[in-house]
Amino acid sequence: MSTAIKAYAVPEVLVSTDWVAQHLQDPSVRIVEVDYEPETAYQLGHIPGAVLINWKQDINDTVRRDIVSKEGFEKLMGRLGIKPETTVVLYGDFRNWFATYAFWVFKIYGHKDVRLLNGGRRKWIDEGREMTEEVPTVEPTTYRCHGIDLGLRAFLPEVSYAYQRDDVKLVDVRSPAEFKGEITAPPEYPTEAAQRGGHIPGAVNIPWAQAVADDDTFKPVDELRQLYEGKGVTPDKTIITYCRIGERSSHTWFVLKYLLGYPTVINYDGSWSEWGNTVGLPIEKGE
Amino acid sequence: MKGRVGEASFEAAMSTEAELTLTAGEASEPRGPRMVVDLRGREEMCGASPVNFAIRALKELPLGGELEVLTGVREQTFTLVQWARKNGYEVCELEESGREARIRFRRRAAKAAGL
Repeated sequence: MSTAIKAYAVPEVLVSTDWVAQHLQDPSVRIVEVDYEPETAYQLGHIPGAVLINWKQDINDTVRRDIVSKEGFEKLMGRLGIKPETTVVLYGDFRNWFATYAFWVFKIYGHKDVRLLNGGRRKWIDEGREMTEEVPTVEPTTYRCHGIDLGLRAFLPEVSYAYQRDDVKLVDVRSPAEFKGEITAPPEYPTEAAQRGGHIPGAVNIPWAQAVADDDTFKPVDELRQLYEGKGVTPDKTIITYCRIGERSSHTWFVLKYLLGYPTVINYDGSWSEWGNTVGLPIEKGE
Repeated sequence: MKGRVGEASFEAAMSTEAELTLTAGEASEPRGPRMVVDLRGREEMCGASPVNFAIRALKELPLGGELEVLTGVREQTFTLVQWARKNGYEVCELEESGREARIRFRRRAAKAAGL
């Protein structure tokens, strides 16, 4: 483990590309690529031996607009050949956003040893490491969850109460344009836009990308501490992260909870697509 | 943002944050100007990546048409080259400089693409 990784609060949750390269054949490790768009990622090439989680289909319940159910998660783990004791390493497209979302879901369902590839797919490719189109054959398992931690997830009723509290800080990790209300969704996805643009009153804007270096690895712990504490996001508060649908905010959730070791960090996956569309909830616009 | 390619206009369906440049490149062959998509410095948005913009431009190429893509990270280069190889496009040129690359694609004629 590198010195930089050791300095994080919970360094075990992060692995380097070197570590992954050394564990490609390790039967106790399952490498999982989590993609929003597998057709332009996993299906074109992935880390040898990696299996796929299709974010839209596998980790979400698109009918309920919810994360995958406990039973669905157990089935998914079984299909991917994962046991409760397996070390799972996640990485993926879109700069690890959806991998950290999956990490969050793995933690909700109590998987003990789940880790994130520091720098993700982008760094693996940048280093010229081996990629393959071969889909591995895995032996299915029977997986049972041991406990569910819903304390990691914020729902609208609690956010609509919490945003007014002094001991709670909301972190909006979207781009400044989204925070200010200039845009509400990517133009390619107009149906996913919120009715209103802006942010939850009192939230601070710290775009997710400010936590990573050019190669998508996380910044050193001192820089991260300065970044968040400098905007009033301190460990004595309950921190709620949000974005548009909860995936970029899971990246910041990961940083605050595991790299900085904040005791209470909660991801609000309803995020702006819920708050911005809800009748009667206040919003702020501008800086 | 609108770029013009010959007489055709091409609207970039991206936000100002992820605005992409599409310009008419210099003609290298008599068949006319080549489109250029510049992905350098462009960021992923929620559910929309710069690579998808380039793929959409590739899909809109006429048979035999060419597109030049400037990428800013190797992941984009890898994705586009792999996608092109699988979808009936020829990678005519690939120049890499650090993490950046200039890739020239040509949409194969139907027969050559096995269509």
